Amino acid sequence: MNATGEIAVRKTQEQVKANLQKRHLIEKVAFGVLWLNAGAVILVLFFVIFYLLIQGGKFFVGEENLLEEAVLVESNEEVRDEVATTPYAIGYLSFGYLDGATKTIKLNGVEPTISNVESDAYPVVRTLYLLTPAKPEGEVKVLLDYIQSISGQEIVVEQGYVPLKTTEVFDSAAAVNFTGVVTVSGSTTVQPLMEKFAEIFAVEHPDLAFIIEGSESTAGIKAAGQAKIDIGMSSRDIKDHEIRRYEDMQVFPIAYDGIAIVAHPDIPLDTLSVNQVRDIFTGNITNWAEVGGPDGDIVVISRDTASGTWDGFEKWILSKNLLISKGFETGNFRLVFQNVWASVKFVWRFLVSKPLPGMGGLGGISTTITTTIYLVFWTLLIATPLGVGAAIYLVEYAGEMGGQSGEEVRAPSWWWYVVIAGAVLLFIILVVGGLLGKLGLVVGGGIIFALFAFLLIGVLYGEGVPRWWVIVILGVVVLGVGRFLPSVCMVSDVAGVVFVLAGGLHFAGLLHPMVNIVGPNVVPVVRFAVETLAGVPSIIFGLFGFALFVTAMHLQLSMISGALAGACLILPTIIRTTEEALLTVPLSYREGSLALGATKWQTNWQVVLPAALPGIVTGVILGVGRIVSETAVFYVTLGGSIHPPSSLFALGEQGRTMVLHLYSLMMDANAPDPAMGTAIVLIVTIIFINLGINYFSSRLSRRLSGKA
Amino acid sequence: MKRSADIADRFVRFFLLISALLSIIIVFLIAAYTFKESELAFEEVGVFKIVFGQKWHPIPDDPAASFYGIWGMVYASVIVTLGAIILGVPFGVGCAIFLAEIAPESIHKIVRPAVELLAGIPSVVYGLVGMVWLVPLIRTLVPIPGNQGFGFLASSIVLAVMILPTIVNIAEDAIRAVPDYYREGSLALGSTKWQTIVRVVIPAARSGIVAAIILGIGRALGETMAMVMVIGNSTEFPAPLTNNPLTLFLSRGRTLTGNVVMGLNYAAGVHRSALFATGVVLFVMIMVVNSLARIVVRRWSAQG
Repeated sequence: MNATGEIAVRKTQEQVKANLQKRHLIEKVAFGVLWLNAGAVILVLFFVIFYLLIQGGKFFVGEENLLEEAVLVESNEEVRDEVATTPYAIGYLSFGYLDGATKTIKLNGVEPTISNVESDAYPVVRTLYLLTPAKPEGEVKVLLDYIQSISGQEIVVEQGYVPLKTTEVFDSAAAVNFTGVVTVSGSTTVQPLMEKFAEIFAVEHPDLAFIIEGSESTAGIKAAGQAKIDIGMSSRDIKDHEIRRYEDMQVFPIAYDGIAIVAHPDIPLDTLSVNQVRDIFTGNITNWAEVGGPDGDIVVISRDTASGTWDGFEKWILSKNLLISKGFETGNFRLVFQNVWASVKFVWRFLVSKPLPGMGGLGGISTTITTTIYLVFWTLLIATPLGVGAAIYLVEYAGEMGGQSGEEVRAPSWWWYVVIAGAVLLFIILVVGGLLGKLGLVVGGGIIFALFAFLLIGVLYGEGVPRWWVIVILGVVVLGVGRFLPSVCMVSDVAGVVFVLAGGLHFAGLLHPMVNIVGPNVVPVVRFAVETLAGVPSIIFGLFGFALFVTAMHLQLSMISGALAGACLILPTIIRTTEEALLTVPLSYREGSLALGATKWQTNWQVVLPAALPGIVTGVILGVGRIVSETAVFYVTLGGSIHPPSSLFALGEQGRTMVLHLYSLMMDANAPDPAMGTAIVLIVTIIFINLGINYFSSRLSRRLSGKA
Repeated sequence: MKRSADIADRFVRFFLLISALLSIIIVFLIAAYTFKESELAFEEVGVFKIVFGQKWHPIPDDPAASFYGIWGMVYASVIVTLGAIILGVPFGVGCAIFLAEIAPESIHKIVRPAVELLAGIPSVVYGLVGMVWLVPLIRTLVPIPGNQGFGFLASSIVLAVMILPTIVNIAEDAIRAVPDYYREGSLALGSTKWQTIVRVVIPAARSGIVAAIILGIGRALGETMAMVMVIGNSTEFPAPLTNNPLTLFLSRGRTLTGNVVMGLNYAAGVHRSALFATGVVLFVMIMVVNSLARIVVRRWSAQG
């Protein structure tokens, strides 16, 4: 028996141990899952932040846009002729077209020569390609072998291009005599080179004819990819989507080519920096005098965007990041510094220049920043006093409802409820029959307004009621005002009738008991309303603002409509935060002040509010954050004009805040890059807003704990 | 002196009272105007045909030939919100528990401001990332004909990320608000940390956690611009692309909010009124969700 007992004990112990181990295992797994889970969330959140930062950064360090006034021409030859004949012209040419008709400008003091390209001193270089629809055979294969051989590359140098590094020797004995026609088309940069090769080839193969047409790289790649020609010419890299699309297409590099900056022969300048060239082509420098030349407006000549020369020029001159990495690779830190500085300047320009209308989202965001600031100003001006006032009332005065007036308060008996119900019924009949004439939903509105008006009067009564005739006159005045303002007549009619009615009730001595029913319920109703407002989605505020301010009050899409709708939106935020701040102020502050003989308001104004100020500021900054990031409301109340209001006080004019600008960049202008730039500016703004919130809320807690 | 102070006191009091009542006025005005403006559509088209109509096709000059059914948008809003909840809630609540109970102070110090920053980022910025990164990704990852990337899947993911900060922030606050002696008591009785979290802390904080989730739902239902950017805005009734019902998530659609914002600036007559009717339906849905939150919080905190 003893033994079995021992065994039983041991068994239990083992079981407990096993259970514990199992539990430990479960626990470890559970904690592991939680760590992973949190890790995933953190990863996602940081991904969003970093993705935006990187993409926005790319925009700021990336390519800039060619100025709109640039003259676009279709070939290298045309560029050369145009630059040579137009006074004050500037353009860019493939090395193969430099023949003395134009003035060649040094870049950062480096002359555009083959040797400078080979030694990496001259940065603007691209590769030239030939393309075949499929694996080359026969005469095309022989031709390509020849071009890529040492003897072929000698021709490349002769023509003024930069040769490939090759050791292949071309064996002409292997070639038989070809006949037929080879069609070639594409880049005008490659064209002279191709023509030269055709000429040499034709000596050995007199029966072979070449048809060479110059158009653009993009057209050449397309024609070769679709097998419409035998050989395509391209002076730019083949893009990913082109490689994917034309699966069989073969690509052969045949030479390198530099792009030289050229100007009209009369321009006495020798050299320009990369930044100066970029500024000229993007329109930030418009006169030669700004770069030390003669006084004359610069005429910018450029190829269109399908051209390979444009592609190379854009890649190396208009983009900063490529030149930065090139500078690092070749140890040319002057290039790096120049382009980093250019990026900084670009950010500044983005912030201070106006957005331009149309596709592509050109220009900066200055006007949208101005509009945002104006909107924040007006919204806060409307919402802050109201929100803070409401919070003060809720916290400081709410407890004193009823009884405050010092009059005797009688408990309401059942028939007062009957009176109120009857009055409401009467009112509804009035509303339905006489004023609005429509059944249905309006009845709901009527009831709501009736309740509200009774509430108002009830509370007013609790605050020290005016004489009955004052209320009646007030009602008549409100009714009269409604006649002159048709936009608010629905509201004013209802309120007016209620005032008159209430005056009558007061005269009959029936108002007082009503107050006892209504009064104590005001604060809960206000709280309920604030909570409801906080939960209403912003688009509903948009609808409301559109219906009331834009349409009914004829304010149109304007700053004032936006500010009013925005004020409604942030009111609950401000009320709630202010309330919280006021509640943290110790009761002893108030008691001390009151004991010294200050009135209630003096106490609030000089003691409670200063103590709670950092909390209130926190609420206001939260409101700023909401206004800055809100889109839907302002889309339907502020309008989307690209022009800002002409001044802070131009309340009737439309505008576009930063978020609205971002939205329209994506949805209308199809310009994700400037949208990313705008997003970065927004995020930086939000970061500052959050820092502000943290600063002020920590100051509030410090102040109230007596440390400051 | 005393008298003037008294008068100032009364005057200020009156002003404060009016500002307090203003919230009520605004709520009333919002309800009144939205209902009033939608009356025309409800009268002309009929409540049933609007709410349960499957076809939305307004023709500006010909109201008789127009269709104003928003059931497809109700459907889209609900699907997208459900998707966001399924994707976002487990991660959000898990992250809140982690931050409140497990995370070392150093991690908490980095993560909490990041979460707050994300809560403040404008919704269009999330829409931007969705359009530029997520939509092309979905298009290439799921090679089904008709899949454009835009649609419920993209919207659900974007919404899930958007409601994450809301859920994490509020749920973490709720968990932190559980008094320490709950944990101490549980640990003193020999339960492990995990048991304490699961059996003591979470039940004690459940009303706050549920409130966080419901607020997240509210935010998801009410989100406008980001949805317009990634959902595709088709007015066709959403349907799966192939026989596989899961491809419903690749279908494009239009949310209630998107419907309102896309037409409001130019619509007139019945069309305009139907947009307000859309707003009314959205308003009712949100009110139901929010009241649910209120009831849950009140009941559970009364129990606790």
